[in-house]
Amino acid sequence: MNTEINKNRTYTKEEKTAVVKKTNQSDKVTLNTIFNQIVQKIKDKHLN
Amino acid sequence: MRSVLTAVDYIKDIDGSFKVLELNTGLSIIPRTIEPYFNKVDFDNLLSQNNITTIDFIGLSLGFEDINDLEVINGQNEGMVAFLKRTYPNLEINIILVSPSGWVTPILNDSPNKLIIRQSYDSSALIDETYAKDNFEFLKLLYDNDINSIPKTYFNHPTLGFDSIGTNIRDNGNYPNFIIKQRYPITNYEIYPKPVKITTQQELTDLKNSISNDLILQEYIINFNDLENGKLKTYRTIGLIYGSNIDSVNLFEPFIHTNPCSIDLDVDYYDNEIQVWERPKYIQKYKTRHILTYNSDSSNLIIKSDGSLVTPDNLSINDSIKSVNLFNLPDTDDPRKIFLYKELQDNVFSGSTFSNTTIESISNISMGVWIRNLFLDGGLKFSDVGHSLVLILRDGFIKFSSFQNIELTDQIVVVDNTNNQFILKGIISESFIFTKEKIFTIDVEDIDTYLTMEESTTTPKYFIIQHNGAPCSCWEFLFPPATWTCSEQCPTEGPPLHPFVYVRTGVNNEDCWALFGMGTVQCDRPCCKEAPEGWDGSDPPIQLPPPIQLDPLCNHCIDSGKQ
Repeated sequence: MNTEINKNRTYTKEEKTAVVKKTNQSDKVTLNTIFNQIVQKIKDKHLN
Repeated sequence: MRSVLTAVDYIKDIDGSFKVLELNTGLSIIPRTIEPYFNKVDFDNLLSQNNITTIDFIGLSLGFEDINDLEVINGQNEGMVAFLKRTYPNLEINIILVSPSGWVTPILNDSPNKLIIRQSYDSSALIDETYAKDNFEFLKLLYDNDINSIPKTYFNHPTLGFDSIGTNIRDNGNYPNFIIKQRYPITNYEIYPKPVKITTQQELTDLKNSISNDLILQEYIINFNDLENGKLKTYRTIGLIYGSNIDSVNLFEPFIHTNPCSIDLDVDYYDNEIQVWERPKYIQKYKTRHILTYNSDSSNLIIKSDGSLVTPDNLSINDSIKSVNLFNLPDTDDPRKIFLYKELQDNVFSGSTFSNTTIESISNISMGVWIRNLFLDGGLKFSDVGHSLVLILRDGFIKFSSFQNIELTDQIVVVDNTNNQFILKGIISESFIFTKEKIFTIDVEDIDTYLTMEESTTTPKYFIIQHNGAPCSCWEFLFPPATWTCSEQCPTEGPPLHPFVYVRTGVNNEDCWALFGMGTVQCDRPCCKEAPEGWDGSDPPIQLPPPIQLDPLCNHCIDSGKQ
């Protein structure tokens, strides 16, 4: 398939700009936990 | 004690679970301001528990362009170095900047009360070389512990390879449902990562069979309940992994990072791959970054000396084109002299003469690129790549600006092609389009200007004046007054130009400002100049970096510690 529906789509500066912001508290706890688990896995593999 | 900043990226699946995407060192610190994200409590504990009195920060001048940090208050950006120096005035903080292109990280002497924080990549370090560099190793590590901790994945390798995709074809509706990534990090994102849409088992089988030994196939997760203003996003944690025991601290609060553009209801494909203009919607890094020398897109109509209008594709070496000898414009392609060109309107409008110049060289490349459209008074429209140089009026003076840095309050110098009369036109609005475009580097001599017609009509009347030089990429900060100006290219020699001189590379002064704290920059390499002898270190009324000196090869800058 070859489609070009959005080919000429234009954007404002804001519309083409990526956004960053802090996560909510629930996601923060989950993600920090996963990060620490990853470091632990590396530790387990290389130190133990 | 040695440590490394380590980022892990995640995506939230439709069941609410996070899937791990990749691990990075040599990372760009995306947020524009550090304080809201920084986990000061845990970092302070790390410092106190280890009696740290000195921090050596090995920073990397690598960044990401066009970020809207929603945690920034009143537009105040503050990068990592500036933040550390402000927050820990009682610590000795030494800064070493490393060129991202060289990947050469200096070996610093460790000592009991010193914390070496490395932002740069180090090929001799375990985390970097094994897990950041090699996505096979990282994904295999996670897969072996929990198959569901990563997106369904397939890659081919005799010991590391696995297939958790099987025959599963994710249902993302009309949206891409798989993505092809490279095993090792890349800097050119023109082709990979590559989102694709697979519909049948045969297509999936064919796709797997096409995955070479340096590629990874993963399901492409889209969670329509987890968009940010219509934009797809990933999550990132940045931790500090330290010491020989591989301990870690969650240095930053986790944050989200969206793709540049929001997704649309329809998706354009070429075969089963998304079209180029869809890439900013589906991946964060989607194009080549450094295209400083390209100064024309393919649709520009350039005036030849016989009055005909031609696109760059139809220009050849030795072609004669119409040009203008601008009043007092130096005969040079030196970005610094072009930047410093600044004349009164009356002088330029009455003292410039029209003439001819010759195409010295012309080359092109085809790539995904943002084109900016400017709509002016009277219905005029001009479009071009970001780095072309255009004559404008700003703050009462005529000067050149790169097309991307033209402000909406500037006026554009246009000329009536029928009588060569200069006119100023205000800017009504702007828009941007991402497209695969053949873009050109045009060099003209003896006069360095060429003239480009408006694009609003098939019978154009007005043209703008463009310079064939490249935009400034090396800036220095002058104080007072607190201004940025274009500097000589690295390496710089000789006495300081001013009592407060800091030189950085970057395509605009906002990049340089960010580099103050090594937050987010878009630079070729850091470039700096020795702080002047006799500076007493007295604080100017704004945040300034420490005195910095230039190493002999200009590969990295060393904090001279003179403050």
